[in-house]
Amino acid sequence: MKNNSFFRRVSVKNKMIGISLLANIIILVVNIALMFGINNLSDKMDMVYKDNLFLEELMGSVERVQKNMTEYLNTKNSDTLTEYYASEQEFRDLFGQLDDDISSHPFARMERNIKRMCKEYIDEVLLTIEGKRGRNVEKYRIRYENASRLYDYIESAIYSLNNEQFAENSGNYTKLLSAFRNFEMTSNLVLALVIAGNIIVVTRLTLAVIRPLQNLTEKAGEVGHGNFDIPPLEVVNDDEVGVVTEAFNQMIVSIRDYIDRLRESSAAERRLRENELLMQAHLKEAQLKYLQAQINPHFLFNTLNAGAQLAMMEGADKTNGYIEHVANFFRYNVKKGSEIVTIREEVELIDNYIYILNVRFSGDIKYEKKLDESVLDTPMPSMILQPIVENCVNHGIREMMGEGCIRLEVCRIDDIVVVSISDNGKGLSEEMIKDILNGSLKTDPKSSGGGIGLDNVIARLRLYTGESDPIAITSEGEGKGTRFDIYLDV
Amino acid sequence: MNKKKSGNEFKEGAKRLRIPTSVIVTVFFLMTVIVMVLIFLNFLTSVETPEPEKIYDRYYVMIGPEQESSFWNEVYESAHNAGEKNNVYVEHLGSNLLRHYPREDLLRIAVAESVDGIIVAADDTEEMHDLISLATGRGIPVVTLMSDCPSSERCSFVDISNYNIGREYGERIIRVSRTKKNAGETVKVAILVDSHTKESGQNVLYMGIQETVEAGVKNGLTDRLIEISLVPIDDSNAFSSQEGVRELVFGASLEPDVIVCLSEVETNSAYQTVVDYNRVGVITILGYHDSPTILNAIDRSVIEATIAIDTDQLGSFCVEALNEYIELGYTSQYFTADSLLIDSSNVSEYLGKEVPYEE
Repeated sequence: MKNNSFFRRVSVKNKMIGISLLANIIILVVNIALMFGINNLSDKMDMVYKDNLFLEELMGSVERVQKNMTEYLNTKNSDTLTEYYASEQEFRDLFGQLDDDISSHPFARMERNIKRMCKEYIDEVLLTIEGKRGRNVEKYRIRYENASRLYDYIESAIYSLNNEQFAENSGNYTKLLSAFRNFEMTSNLVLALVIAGNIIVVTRLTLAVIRPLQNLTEKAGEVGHGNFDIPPLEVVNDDEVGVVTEAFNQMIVSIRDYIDRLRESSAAERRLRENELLMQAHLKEAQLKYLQAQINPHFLFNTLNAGAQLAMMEGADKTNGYIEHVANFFRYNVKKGSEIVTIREEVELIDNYIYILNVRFSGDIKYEKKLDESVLDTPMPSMILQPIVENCVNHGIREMMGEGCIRLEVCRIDDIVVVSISDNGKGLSEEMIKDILNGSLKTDPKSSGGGIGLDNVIARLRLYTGESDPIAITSEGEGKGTRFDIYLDV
Repeated sequence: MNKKKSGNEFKEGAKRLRIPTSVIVTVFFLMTVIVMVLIFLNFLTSVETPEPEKIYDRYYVMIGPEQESSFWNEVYESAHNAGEKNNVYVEHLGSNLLRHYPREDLLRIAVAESVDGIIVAADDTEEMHDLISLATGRGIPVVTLMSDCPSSERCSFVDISNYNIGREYGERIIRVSRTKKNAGETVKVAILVDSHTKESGQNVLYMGIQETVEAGVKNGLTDRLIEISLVPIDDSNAFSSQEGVRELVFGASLEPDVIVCLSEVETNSAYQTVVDYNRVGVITILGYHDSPTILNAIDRSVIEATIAIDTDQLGSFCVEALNEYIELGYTSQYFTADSLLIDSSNVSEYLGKEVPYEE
């Protein structure tokens, strides 16, 4: 676990260096061990015949001593004597190196015996030489015989030891050789194993480093093809790849957010444009209906103006006033049909309309208004209040007995301006109110005198305010009048 | 749907089963270490380490007779073992030399090697006498074994009781003679003696045989006449002994009914000759030593009886004598080892195991 967390923290560079170091160090260590073993074995092989070589040397040395002694005895030559002394010294040095212990090892024991015999021999040889120099013929003859016999024994002993050692060394050599072969085979096997293991380990470690990168590449490819709906990648290591993976994850989230926002805003825009188009359609419809209703307003204005001038000339002030009101009413209709107007302008239109009606119907309609001056400049769509008042007059008041009353009220409640129009006419049933609000009660164009219907008014109000219920219609029942409340934002 | 799920489960399982790289690395590292340790062990065992060396205090050599035999090997073994107990190395001199040297040369070699003690199967010759003097002159004590050089300066003589053995052989000859020929006829007994040695041991033995046989005939233990003759056999090499025995069996002169052998080599030769020339049952062999070959021959009734000598005692007496002489300056002049007669009645007890000896 610790190892793992350590591995996660190490950078990719260090991981790659570590992996190659680990692999190489393992192979290096194994190689060093194998080389050590091979060197050791070959050293031992070199040593195998060392003893034999030494014995050969000793043999040669004792032979030289014997030869020089014999030659000296034959010739009494001083050169030969010098040679003899040289060979004697060499011989002493050589046999001095032999083992002198009574050992349990047969070779060491034989060495001891050879050493003792060599000593005995060289003493005898010296006595022989002395005998020769002293011209004691009998003495040196016996000494020479003794020395020669000892020489024979030594030769035989060295020969035997050499032979036995050679036999054993050959055995050892064979064993060493087979050990060497075994070692060679084992080392090849070990090397193969180590290399195979190394490949596994290096592959595993490299994959552990590379896999997150592969995942990242794969996911990046998917993202490149436009698929942003992928789960966040797991951050395995805290190395460079880990950092890039995390950044990638964040990038995906950011891109997805951005796309969502873009999609929402385009939807809103589309909705807005739809609203606008709808509104324009309704307006067009209203205007069409209006134009149908007011076939030639200019002609009417001119006619009415001519009438008003005529009345003034004749001194008929009332007639003059009436005609001016009628002219103003129609001018408003022509001018403001498609505009956003203020509440004040709409209220003035109602004033004109009620005046005209009262002239027409001999002051039958009582008109009351209560206005909050501060909100009269609040904008609203044109031609909203007049159709409602017209509706109140036509359907509420005209069909009742007694004095009809229209009441207009503009007030402010919090951030909302409420424009209320109420009558004391015959009222509306709940069903009719529902039908009017749903727009399913179509106003009969004939009965309304070609004016704008309530459905159009309500639709335009909805489009303007963006609310679903910008208008409330209440009626307390049959004969108790109707009240229209229009809610506008300040 | 189900397939997909099971596939996913498998993947999950595989994920859970995935071995961490660190574990693999550790296992691999351990494996490498173990393999390397194994290589070294293999290497160390393949190259034998020499046995630990033991250093001895003294060095004795044993010089046997010309003709080696299992009897002498046993004696050497026992001397070696006895020496081992006292930290003395006893060497069978000449055994490790490729050239074969006569006893005298071996004695000279032993002196040249300045050993601490010499055990020699001596003879009573002048040369032997001189050589023993040479050794003792160098301060090397000499023990003679089985055959003596009485006039020399040897410190001790280790032998068997030849007279007793002679008596044993004599009694057995009387018993055997009763089965040979008819009453009043002469049963011929040939005693094979070493033609080279003039040693007293064989004389004593012959005396023992002769006295016992004469007494037996006189006391009427057998109604046959018994004629004993000494037949010298040259056993200085491997073939002369065999030839000598063959000559004896087929030689017109003697035609023995009983052959008494006084060495293992002669016993083997006699046994082989009797078998080879189909004289089993006709010629009775009284043997010497209890080698497996001889015991088997007794079991198969080719050899009548044999004298078994306690080789352990012989060997250890030699070492004991030398040790005593070196440490105390004196030792017993004469050591006698035990012997035992083995025949068909008790051979089964000794086949395949060591012979227990009685005084």
